[in-house]
Amino acid sequence: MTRDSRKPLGLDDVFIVDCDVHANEPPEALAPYIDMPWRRSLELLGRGPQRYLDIPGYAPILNLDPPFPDRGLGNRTVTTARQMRDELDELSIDVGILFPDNLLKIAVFPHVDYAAALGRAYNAWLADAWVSRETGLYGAVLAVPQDPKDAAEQIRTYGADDRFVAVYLPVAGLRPLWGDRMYDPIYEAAEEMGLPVMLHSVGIIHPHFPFNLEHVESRIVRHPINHEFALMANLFTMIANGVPVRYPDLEIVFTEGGVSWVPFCMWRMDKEYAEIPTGAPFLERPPSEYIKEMYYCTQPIEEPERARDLVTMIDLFDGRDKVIFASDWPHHDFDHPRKVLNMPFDAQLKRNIMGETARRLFKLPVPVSVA
Amino acid sequence: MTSSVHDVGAEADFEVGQPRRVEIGGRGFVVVNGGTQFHAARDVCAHQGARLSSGRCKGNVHAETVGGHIEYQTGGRTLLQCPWHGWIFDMATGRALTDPDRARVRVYPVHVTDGRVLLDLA
Repeated sequence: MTRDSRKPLGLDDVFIVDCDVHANEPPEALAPYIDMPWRRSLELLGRGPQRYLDIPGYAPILNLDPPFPDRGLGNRTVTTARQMRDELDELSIDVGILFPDNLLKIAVFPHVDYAAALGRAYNAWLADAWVSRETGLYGAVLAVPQDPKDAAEQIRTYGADDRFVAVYLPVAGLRPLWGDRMYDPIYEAAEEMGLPVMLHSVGIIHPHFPFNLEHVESRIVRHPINHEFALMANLFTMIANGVPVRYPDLEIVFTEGGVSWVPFCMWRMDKEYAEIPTGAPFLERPPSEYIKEMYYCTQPIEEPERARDLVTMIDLFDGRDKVIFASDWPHHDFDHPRKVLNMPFDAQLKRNIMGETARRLFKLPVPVSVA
Repeated sequence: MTSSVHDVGAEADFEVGQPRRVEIGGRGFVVVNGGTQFHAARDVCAHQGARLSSGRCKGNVHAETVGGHIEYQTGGRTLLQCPWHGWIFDMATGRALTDPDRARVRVYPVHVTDGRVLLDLA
């Protein structure tokens, strides 16, 4: 049966790849996968009180906010692959790319061996209990920034497993930023294995820029700084240090920042580069040309008063084959795929954003049901 | 009773401040007993389509001056918060508190007669 081409595309008419969904990993879940003495650490943490993304020594947060009756949306978590598959089915999502919950904060740990062990445990846990081509749940190999050499080994190990399709680069509390040359082993491994790297931040107060927001009263100020500002800062350093030049086959993806900051970064960096080209000695072209070659996840999708402005925004960075859908399920600011599908994009752009571009980027098979 | 008026249950079945979903002709509606008055609206959030009936009634914060008292209030209104992203709707008007001109859900007259809750879809 063919679809009536005059009807607007519905959720069931398109192949939907969700480039950002979150698996909840309590300490006790990772304990069997981590080496001693850290297994004992996680067992102890598992017996203690656990608040949402607020577990000292595991998911640390400097929570300075009083509880207030205005919140209370509840904190959704997904703790099993079965639950995730069922909930993505409810959302009409065919494929999900998994990110952690608690370990979104892994970059803050000063103890390098502990951080590396956590990363290895998470990757092993994903491989054992979550990822599967049959269910359409794929992994992003967690690359622990504190130990780039170990991270590179993890990328080579799991990159050979076709259930892992990307590398997750933690952003929250990171120092130095992802453009630093100390991370070169991670980029070398990701490029070698053909895995896109995906930067992902999270809300946190931490001494490292741009998370040093302990003086900022309102969460609605801290939240976008934690995400979009952090992504911009990392993008700037990656451009200045020539990551896209030195790793020309490496695909770079930005998650949970929407898309409207991208033109600003292009034009601002081009202006800086024109004045001070010595600041980016590796570049062979203006920064904007590299930025246009990167990928940007939709969530949190901008909701401008004139919806068509979003189409214009995407065209400003030639992004029709660079913008990819993400829901951020099950987090509080997730986007339902319907919201993105109903934007005034043409049918081909809708198909690209909702799944076709991501299918190519992550080299995903097309399920028979939507082929 | 005209054909547009639907009996959706006994008044006693609607606990004050507890939104409840009713379905009529395949469409979902959220009905809320606000204490002094009943309200009804389409059970589809104007933002991303969540069922408002899965949300909860609550107050809102308001401050008049910087450094002044921050009130947590309803202003006598029945405010229903969407379970997904927390948008808050005034159930009397269907308008979202933060963007009343752009974001609104359709509301319907609802009243109680002889202990029965009657929803008018006209």
